[in-house]
Amino acid sequence: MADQNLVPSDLVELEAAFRKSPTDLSIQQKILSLLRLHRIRRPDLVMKIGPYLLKKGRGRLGNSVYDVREQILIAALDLHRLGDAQQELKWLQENFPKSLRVKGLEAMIHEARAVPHHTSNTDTAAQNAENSYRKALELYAEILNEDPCNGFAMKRKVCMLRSKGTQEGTNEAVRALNEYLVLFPTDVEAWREMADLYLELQQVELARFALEEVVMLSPINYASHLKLAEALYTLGDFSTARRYYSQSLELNPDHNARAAYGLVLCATALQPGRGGG
Amino acid sequence: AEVKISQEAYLKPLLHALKYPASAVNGVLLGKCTKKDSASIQVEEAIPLLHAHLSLSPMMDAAFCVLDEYCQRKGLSIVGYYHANPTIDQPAPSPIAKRLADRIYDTVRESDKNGEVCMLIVDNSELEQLAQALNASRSLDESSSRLTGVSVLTKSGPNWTKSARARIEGADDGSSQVLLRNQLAEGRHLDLIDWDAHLDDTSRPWLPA
Repeated sequence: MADQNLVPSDLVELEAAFRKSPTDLSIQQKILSLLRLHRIRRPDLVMKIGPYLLKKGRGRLGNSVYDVREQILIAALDLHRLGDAQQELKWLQENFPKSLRVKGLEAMIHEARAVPHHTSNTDTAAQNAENSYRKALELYAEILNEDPCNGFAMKRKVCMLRSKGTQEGTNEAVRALNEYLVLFPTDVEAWREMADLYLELQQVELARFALEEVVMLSPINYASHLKLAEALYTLGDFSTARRYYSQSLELNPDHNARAAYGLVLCATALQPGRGGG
Repeated sequence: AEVKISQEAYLKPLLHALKYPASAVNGVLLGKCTKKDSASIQVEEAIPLLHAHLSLSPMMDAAFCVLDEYCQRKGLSIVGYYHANPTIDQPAPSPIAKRLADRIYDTVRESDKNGEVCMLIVDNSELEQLAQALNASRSLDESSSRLTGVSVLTKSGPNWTKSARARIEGADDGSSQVLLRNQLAEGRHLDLIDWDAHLDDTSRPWLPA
């Protein structure tokens, strides 16, 4: 299908086309496919398009109706529209009663419930949130029981710990992510997440190790060299940073403002008399 | 120090945070600092900076180089820092926010021994209450209009504490909050270009003309 050829930059055009003809089903379908294909997070778009497409375009969706329902569920969670998410879950559960993938979605809904709304009665709200949090962890444990290498469940645990927003939470997320990386050491996205976690903890030295793994796993991606250069600069290692900035510019000389700025900053810092490393 | 925040400097950080609800975002506050009888900070503009990897320094350094020229041109100085955390329960200000705000404080103090700096933090749970109030009715009643969704802090010793003398233009009668809701409904937050977005595509304008 031509939808497989869509690139992220097509979204701007498609969105404009959607605004002009909001009932055009083919545009709607293309947008949802693009968002799924490139994992772009636009819950506002999905919720505007998804339910309508399900109602009016069921025929043209064919098998992708399952993907669309999952997409709507997740977008609804992003916008905290738990009722809509629950609706999609019910349909998916009826059609795939033994699916671990659907169980994972059920757990995600509990995750979303685990955030107490500060506007409601604080004690019961806090207790309900606690219960939902535990229920989500239970479901992920059940999934891992049946499938010990279920990457999705392992990663969701990392996310749950990270979204606590505390130092301890993020530290535990690092531990959980390390467990995942033992099983999946070539998952470059996981190494990126690890770098993110360390940066959140302001442990730039450890973030650098993770970013070095990212460069090893994606050596022709200009962005990997760029991120590592930024970490090195932050650590004060301007000469090594400059090398990675240069490499990044070699890989992408045209649309790489960060590397260009970085190179200038490193060169300035390395000037004699500036005390640069 | 007394802190006065213009309507624009109130709206921008919130629009920025709402464009990237899953990330921490930050920015710089520009304005004027006067020391007549008591110190008073006037925050006129809020310049959005980053929405990713706030603890990495090179792009912050680059932003400040570019901002230098802008400030000189407009006759403004750096008078503060703003920060929004992605999770609702995160204690504010986070360690990263404190570190960056301190850096700005030190830099300002380098050139002006009596310079004052403020920090504006988005208070996510108050923002949620404000959202509920705004969704419920066209304008805010008296009790709801004390909700702004932000906290203003000033530095006393090594700590940042909530300022008792902070005023936001248009917040007392709720008109700034209503304007926020209207701008969100129009999708104006999606048009906001921060330094990160500008670096991704330098044809996108970052600083106001």
